[in-house]
Amino acid sequence: MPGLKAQPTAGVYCRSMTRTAVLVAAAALLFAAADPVPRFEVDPLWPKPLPNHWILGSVTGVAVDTRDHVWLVHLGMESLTAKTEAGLGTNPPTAETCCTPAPPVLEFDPSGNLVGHWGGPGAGFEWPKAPAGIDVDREGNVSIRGDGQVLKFTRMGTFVAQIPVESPPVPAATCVRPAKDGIVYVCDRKNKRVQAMKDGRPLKEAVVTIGADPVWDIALSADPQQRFIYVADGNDQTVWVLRRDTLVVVSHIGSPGRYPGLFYGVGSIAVDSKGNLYTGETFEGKRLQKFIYKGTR
Amino acid sequence: MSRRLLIAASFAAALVGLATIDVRLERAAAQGVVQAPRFEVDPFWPKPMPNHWVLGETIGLGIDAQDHVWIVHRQNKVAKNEGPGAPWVLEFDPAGSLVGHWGGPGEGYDWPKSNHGIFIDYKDNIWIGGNDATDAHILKFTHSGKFLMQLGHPGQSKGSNDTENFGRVAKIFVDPRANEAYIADGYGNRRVAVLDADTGKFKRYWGAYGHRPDDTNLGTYNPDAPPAQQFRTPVHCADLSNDGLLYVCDRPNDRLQVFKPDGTFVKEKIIAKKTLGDGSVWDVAFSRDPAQKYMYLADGKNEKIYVMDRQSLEILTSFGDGGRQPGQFFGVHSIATDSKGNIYTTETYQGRRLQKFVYKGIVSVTKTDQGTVWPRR
Repeated sequence: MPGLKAQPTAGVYCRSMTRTAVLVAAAALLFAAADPVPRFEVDPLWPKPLPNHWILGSVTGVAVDTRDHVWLVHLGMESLTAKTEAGLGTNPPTAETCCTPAPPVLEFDPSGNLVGHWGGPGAGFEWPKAPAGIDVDREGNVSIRGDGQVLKFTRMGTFVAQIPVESPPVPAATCVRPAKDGIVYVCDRKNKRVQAMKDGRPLKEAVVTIGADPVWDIALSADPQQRFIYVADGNDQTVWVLRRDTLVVVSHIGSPGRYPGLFYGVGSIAVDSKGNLYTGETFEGKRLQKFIYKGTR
Repeated sequence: MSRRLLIAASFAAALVGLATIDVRLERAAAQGVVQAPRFEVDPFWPKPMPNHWVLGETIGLGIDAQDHVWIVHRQNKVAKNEGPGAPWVLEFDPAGSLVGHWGGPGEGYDWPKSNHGIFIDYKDNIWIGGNDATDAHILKFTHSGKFLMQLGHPGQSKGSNDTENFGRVAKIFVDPRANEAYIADGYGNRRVAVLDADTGKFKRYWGAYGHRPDDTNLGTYNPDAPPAQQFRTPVHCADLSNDGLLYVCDRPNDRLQVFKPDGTFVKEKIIAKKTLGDGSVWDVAFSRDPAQKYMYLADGKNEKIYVMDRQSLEILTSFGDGGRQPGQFFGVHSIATDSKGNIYTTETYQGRRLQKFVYKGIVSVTKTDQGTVWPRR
């Protein structure tokens, strides 16, 4: 990024993380066996600005497909202040040039270009009032969760089917993320914990004790062993980094705020094949952000 | 080919040639190539504040003689899950580091219930207004936050012809030459008031077109109606140029009115006339060349900055758009320039940011709407 100085994702947290990193590096020299921690830098200029004076409402789901395209679903006008921020989207309009809600489902290519957009009410299905999540399967079909149903679409937005909702492995789970080794990780948000399960049975659990409501969504790291779990904490405005084998918190990314790399309502998270992290913010955060994976140290 | 035909053919060719030149000229005119300053947002400015501090509605912005950037924001509007609210008044150095903070209720003065506007005068003193229904006063502090003066008293406003209190003040500007404070007054009153900046003594005041202000409710702004003869509330800025022209933001009326310092009406400019609700004319700042050739106008409803020729009031171009990414706005409320020509903006509502736009020189501009201005990678 010529002309841009790289800046850590968050002030104070990063300063303390840097100190930790130095200690870790020192320990590595002494014992050559220090725990590596994944490192990230926010890309403040990703994704590219939306066309047509479109703006995001509260983002409630983020997913990455097999082509590393990044998908989001957001709440649109329901979550925008018509009077002040969506004056082009009202009838009659109250503004001349800004702004109107973007379509509910957006697809970005790895460069951050908007390459697809669809969603909203249609024939044969009822679009959820409050979409709560988005998933893309290996075939590229897109599922939208919300209002107690799952709707399946093609990647172009053609309705495929309403999928029966499976009862979650943990009551009121906000996410279910299977790892490659067969272990399934569940956001047991109500009980403030990540629940690991195998063959439908609890394996072990991490009670993430930092904060009052930390487990909104999780993603697994992109390395073959999936050594890390990223936990989006929309209450304390950070992303916790856990070791997958021990489920112990080893680091965290970001802190509260509206600037690049900071969060307000970070409630969804996904990882691409290169290990980059994508976050969606609900509440008044209303952003999709990218954190570039910079290796472990 | 007969001679007549040849003449006709060459005449036709000449016509085609002329037409081509004509089209080119038209295209150039349509493209509207103008010379205008260009800006790029700095996505890493300011630096993260200590203690994870976050901003509420960031409702005032000023630059001091050292190019330090001052803001006032509404700490009381920070939601519990948003993070810890920073102190009310914040001072950043040019590198974007927080170097000072103070503000809030204290001994001997009434901190506004809803602070609004901050100005650093030529003596390095800090002025603050307030727009709560009961805020009828302005405050003056030293650079380090020591209380100096309060003018007016909460709850005491008697309207636009009151010479002891104000009516929910939006912004203050101090003229160093005459040592006079211009008050954009305000969310309750419909006037510009002028005070002695040391004593606070009332000197003069006026309404739209220089009329005596009248507090009759004008109803909702209608773009098709004849121009209102009074300001609509809020009167949101009153900034004086070096050549003695006062630019007044008549926000919901979508117009900028220009006056002489004595209140004589000079001219007006309508901006984005169909804008309803909050209106289009929120705040202005001047370029820092001696002539102040350019003026920047913040429109927090259409979420953009208009770059204008200050003398002709012609809009040359604009930049910005709605959104939460760098260089985008939600409620771009206040605007100011530093000595290097950089622009700073603050956002109210849920924008809640201070942003910097780096001056990149005067360039040929063809786009009337530049959209989000990001650094070129």
